[in-house]
Amino acid sequence: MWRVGLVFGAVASFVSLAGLVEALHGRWVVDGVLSTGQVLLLAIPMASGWTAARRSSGSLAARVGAGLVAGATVGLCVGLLVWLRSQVDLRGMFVNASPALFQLLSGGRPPQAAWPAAVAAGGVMGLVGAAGACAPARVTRPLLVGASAALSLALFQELVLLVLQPESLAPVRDWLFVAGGGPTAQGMAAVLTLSAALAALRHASRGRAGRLALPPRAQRMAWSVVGVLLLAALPVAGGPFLAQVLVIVGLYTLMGLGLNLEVGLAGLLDLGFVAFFAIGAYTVGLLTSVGEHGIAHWSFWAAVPVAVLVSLIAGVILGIPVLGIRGDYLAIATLGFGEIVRLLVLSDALRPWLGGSQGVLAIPKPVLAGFEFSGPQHLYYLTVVASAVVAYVAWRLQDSRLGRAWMAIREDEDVAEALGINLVSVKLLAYGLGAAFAGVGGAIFAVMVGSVFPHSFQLLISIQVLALIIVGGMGSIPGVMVGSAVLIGLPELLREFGEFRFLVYGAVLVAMMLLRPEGLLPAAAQRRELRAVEEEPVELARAAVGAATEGGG
Amino acid sequence: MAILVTRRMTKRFGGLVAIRALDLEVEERAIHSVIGPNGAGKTTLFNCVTGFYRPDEGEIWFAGQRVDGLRPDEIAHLGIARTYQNIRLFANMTALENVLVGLHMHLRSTWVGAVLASPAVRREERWAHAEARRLLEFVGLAGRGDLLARNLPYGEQRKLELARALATRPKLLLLDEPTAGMNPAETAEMIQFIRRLRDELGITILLIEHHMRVVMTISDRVTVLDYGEKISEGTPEQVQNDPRVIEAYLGTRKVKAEALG
Repeated sequence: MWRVGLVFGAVASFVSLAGLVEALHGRWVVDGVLSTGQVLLLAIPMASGWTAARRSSGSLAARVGAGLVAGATVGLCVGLLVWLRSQVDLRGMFVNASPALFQLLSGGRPPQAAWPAAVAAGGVMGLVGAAGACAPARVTRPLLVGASAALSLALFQELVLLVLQPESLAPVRDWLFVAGGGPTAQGMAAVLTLSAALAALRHASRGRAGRLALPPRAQRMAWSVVGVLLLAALPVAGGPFLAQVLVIVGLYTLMGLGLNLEVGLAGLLDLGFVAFFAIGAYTVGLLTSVGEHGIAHWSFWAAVPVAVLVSLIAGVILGIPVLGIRGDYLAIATLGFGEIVRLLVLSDALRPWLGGSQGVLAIPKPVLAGFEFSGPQHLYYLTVVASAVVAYVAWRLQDSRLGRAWMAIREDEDVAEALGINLVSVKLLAYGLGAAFAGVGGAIFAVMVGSVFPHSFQLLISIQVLALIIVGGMGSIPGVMVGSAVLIGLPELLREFGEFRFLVYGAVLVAMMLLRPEGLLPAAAQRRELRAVEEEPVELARAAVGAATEGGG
Repeated sequence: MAILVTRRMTKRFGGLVAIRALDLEVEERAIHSVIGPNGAGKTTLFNCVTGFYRPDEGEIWFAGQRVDGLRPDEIAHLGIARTYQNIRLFANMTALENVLVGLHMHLRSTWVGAVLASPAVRREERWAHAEARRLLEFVGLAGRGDLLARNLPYGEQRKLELARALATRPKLLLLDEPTAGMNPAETAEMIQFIRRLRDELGITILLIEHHMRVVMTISDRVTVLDYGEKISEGTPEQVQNDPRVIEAYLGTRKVKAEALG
């Protein structure tokens, strides 16, 4: 428990010194009372207490005690940090160790008096965390949901305010938010209780499933209708900023769906995936641009199929040399391919055609029957339709003969080949179709920005796409969408914490791999298996017993 | 008539000769066993026949066609399927999907057809699922199709591997220690099953087996390898009484007694 406390203490010191706490302090959870920065500081000893109580296996008292010690240790670390700062000038090394931060950490007390208060506060939060670890899920789950809802409201308050902008919604707005400030206490309390109550209801009804529920098919229909309406309404309600964020999420979803064919289904690691996105974007740029590099002045709609085709061919061309390469070596080889494409478009040799670092400019917006897709709110619908089409194609492929062949080579290439699967054609189709999906994204990207430069196609994008499909759940189509919403959408929405983006990003990736390596929404196979449990519990129990005996023997 | 023939086939790994100038003839509809101590080259023989390894010298003929140098998937198309000593299933796919992969080469649908969900593709998929379920039932895995392969108990994994191999509709089935890790009752069941494959489906069986009782019970013909060379061949009785086998392979009295008993 000491050690748990020290680890979390280090985390607390780190996020403080890195400036995250201070940055979050600028955002109220309850106006004038509590900031998100303070919530973060309090959450760390709480998490410490929770972890310690979880790990200790003794009596209830022992677990609570462990939580107390672990929480207090975090407080001690923070207190020591405050004291240390009074002795040495930390600012020389840590630019973010500002007076305001230490004002916050010490609660305005002199440095010598700060640590008892910090230890006490840490201990209390540790106790709360330990209580959470010991209490049953039906109590903690609703509380956790309520707290997350309240915290989300605090973090995304600007977005909520944007939605509540119309004068007709003014009463709601004024009730939820202090004019020109953060959320009101009553608003927060209402959000917290309401979502907690909903979660509690849901938890209570789970035991009696299907009590007043519609048949599954109708339920699914109902959810799809709600989903479509929500998707259609979002940019109207949220304004251009939200629409812009959603377009970017959509573009990453398109790339994610493509890479998911390669990595998630066929098991072919690809770190140069951004190249296909670039190829799609450049193709549309060159074919439609009215600037100096434009070669055809085609319409967007004529250029898209060509862009998809060119990306597909590029995918196959990448695939041919790396056919015989497996695993880690494949990652390196594809990494090279991505960089080659970027350097080619950047090169002086191709400057007359591709514009070098200046890129291709003056790409007109798509026009359909006299309607111009000008702003992000229009392009949003284009992106949603494109993502839906591509997701449908991916879904059809997944359950097809080809999809099964992809999964087979992911699982065991040699066995798949011995069963008559032609590795060459199956792998090239994975590269080609995956690249084609990314090409669709690139085409939309080109018209969204109105110009394409080599600089937009950094290695980082390939890595982000890979990260989002891992976080979402390898081989899972809904997982790709959730992954890009979480890893791309959230950071975009929280732009003012931009400098901490990759700090949080990295932490999320590490935490995900430790706590939920299968991803947020794992692939269908596991779910299908869960369904099988419901259908034939006896059979499965027998299988489980058999497996256990095998494993034991 | 011999369905599988190797002529002077040699496979080397660096300085090691895994198989030396092997002449082997497997009669059609026979159950033919290959035995020999560890490292005798039995699995290497399988890997050469299925195209996973390319022999350094010699020829392999299958059903009147020369197959050495062909890719594994081409050889599979000609009608050779196998199972593995250490079961190699597609662990994260369901049992049904494993068998469907085995049916891959008998399905015609393309990815375009799959995306468009054309009637032909739907019909074929329906047929494939029915066929896969039938094969699961044939090996005794009825109702297990939706379980992930890795969650099946060991004995059922062996059966699933067989169903997957049968899905390719082989003329020749190579079984690499099919009774490894089985108790006597399961072993007896497997012997029955292998006989059924030959009698009902007309599949030729080439078998690697360490269990001498199994070998002597079901084999029409036995080939004995030692250090990559064929040291004996014949009916189970002939091999059992071959002094070279007793001397070079069976070794100690204890094993000899067990094998001959």
